[in-house]
Amino acid sequence: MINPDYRRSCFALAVIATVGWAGCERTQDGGNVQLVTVWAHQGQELENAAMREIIAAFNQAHKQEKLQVEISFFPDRQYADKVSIASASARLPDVLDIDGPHVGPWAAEGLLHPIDEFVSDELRADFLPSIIQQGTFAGRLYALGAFDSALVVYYNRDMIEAAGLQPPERVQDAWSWDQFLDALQRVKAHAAIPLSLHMDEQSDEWLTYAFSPLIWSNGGQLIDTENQRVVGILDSPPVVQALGRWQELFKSGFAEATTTNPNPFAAGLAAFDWTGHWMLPSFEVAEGLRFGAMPLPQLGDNLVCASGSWCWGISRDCRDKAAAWKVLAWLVDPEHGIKPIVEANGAVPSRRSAFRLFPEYGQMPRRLFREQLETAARARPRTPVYFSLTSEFARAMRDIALGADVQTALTKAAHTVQRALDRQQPGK
Amino acid sequence: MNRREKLIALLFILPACVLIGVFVFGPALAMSRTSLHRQGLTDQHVGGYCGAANYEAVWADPDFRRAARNTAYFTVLVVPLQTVLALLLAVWTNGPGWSLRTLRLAVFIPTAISLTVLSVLWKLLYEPSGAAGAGLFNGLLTSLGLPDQPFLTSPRQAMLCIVVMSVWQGVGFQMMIFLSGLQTIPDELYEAASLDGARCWQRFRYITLPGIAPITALVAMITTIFALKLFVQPYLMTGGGPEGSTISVVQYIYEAAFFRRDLGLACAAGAIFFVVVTAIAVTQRRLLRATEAIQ
Repeated sequence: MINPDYRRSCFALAVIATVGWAGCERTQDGGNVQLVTVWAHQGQELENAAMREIIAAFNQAHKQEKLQVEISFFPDRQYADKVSIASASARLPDVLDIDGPHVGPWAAEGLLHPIDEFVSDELRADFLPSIIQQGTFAGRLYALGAFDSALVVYYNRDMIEAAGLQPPERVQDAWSWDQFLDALQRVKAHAAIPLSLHMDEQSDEWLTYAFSPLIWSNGGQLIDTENQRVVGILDSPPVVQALGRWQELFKSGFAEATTTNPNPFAAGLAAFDWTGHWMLPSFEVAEGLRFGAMPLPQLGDNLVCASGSWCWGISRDCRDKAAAWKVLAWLVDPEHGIKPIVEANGAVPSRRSAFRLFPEYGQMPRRLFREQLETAARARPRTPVYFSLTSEFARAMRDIALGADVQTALTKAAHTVQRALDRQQPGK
Repeated sequence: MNRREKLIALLFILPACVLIGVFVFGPALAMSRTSLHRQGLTDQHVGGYCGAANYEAVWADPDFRRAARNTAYFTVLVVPLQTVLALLLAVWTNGPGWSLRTLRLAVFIPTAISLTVLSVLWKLLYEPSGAAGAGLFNGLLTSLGLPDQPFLTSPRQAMLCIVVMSVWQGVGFQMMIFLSGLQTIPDELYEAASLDGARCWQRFRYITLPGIAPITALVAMITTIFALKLFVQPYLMTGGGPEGSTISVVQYIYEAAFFRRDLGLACAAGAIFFVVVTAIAVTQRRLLRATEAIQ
């Protein structure tokens, strides 16, 4: 016999379920206001706060037009997975944040809508060449960023002076690899760690970002994007030679292959620090630290610097591309977008016209940041297999740092990426 | 049961059935289907049918073979070690008194802590003890005048380090299951054996072991399945390195999906993995049942 209490509970459950279901339905029009959704990666709290302010200012300025933006943040490390899954279920936001090298795979997979139609020649020319290069895939522009990154070698002035060294200030005066090794040898007596390479960094991207310039400078490549080849490219002599020379840093005891200290330079332990613009604020406030910055040493004849950072694109699922472009244009506008975000994260402004808002770019070390982006920067390869490429390359780099055979490590990485590439083009 | 009661019974199991259907059988069916098609990670529709091509690609992939070897190596080491250690700890800590209770708690605590947190902590423990390193184990070795060990940075030691950490983390759970099994053995049996002059070892061999045989089968099976699903520890402690020595099958599947963007390949690997795990579990169960029957 059924208990009346059970009957009541069942009914209550059914009601809750129905109401709950209905509650999930969201009204998109919200009183004729057009809503543009934006997804962003979660950065430092200062950066997130700046992003929220940029969006609040946009919403304020577009109240009359009834155009409003809703921004959601997702943790850095899961961001790319989140976007990929959303794509499969056709739930991409209108505007999305993209880590520079992901433009390639996402454009190839059709997640992004090209934005060439919105970008005038004049506007295009205002962006740093590295930003345009990063956002372009197969001849079309898919993304623009508010900032770019700069990778330099910082040095501890006290230790450099004690060793009698004079580091260069200009990109064209960059040290050769032999000069760099010689300098490391000379500072060894004055520093606990001659060179910090941040091998504690968990993300694969650090290794690809930080050390690809050595390969490019030596005339090598990670992948031949025209012929879709990795085998014979990533394991070719210029790459093997470049990473062999990189391995010398560990073998000679100049750098540590494993470490838990994320910032030995600020603590006054390291003489040189191979790192990006994002560490500069921590050096500026480090007590008793006198430091300078120089361009990366060059392995070969090509003068190359690293570049690339987060940028914005419009998704395939976006219904009103023109409204999304309004938002994107605001995000990369010098006054409204670039100024607040760059003040928060210390990155390099992406537009020439934005530099007038930052007088500090007239002096070192920021002058060097700008100079190298304008003259010698190169974006990481834009390829559909970038995720696999960066993961396998980083894996090889970690093994090489620990003393593995360079040729073996690179050959293995090249074959794994080639398999991924070949499976993307059946019949090859 | 009359019709009405049957209906109510069905209503009660309905939520469980729906949940299992949606979260277990649904995905499993979808996986089997995708494994027979070409499909990229971000594609909205299943691509063309490709027969067993994905399975062939997984089978021919040296990365998959490497991952399978590593996972097998881990399982072969962890299962006997953890089972025996759990049994010994259970026998040792079985009994009343605060000291034994404290000991049981101490062994059990790691099981209650997130594996992610423990992996990060153990990574620090295995660090070098040099200028910038803070590794406790190497610090201990150095203080004893022994040489530093590479631990996680050596292709030969890394998996063993993960085995040690995993046994330490998981042994408490198995110990608890053994403890519950030990309590089902009637005290009279031990008393009778003592009167007959049985020694400690004989009591253990002829009363305890047969008494907990069914529990041992369960523990061995659970441990095997957990071990085969190895992912968090190597993913966080070594990233699968050095030189691919700790990459596991689950990490291979994850990377096939999210790095190679090849859902067909990932699903085929997942399906192979599912069949192998099920086959091992079933075989193990049969074998242990057979031994039980003989006893």
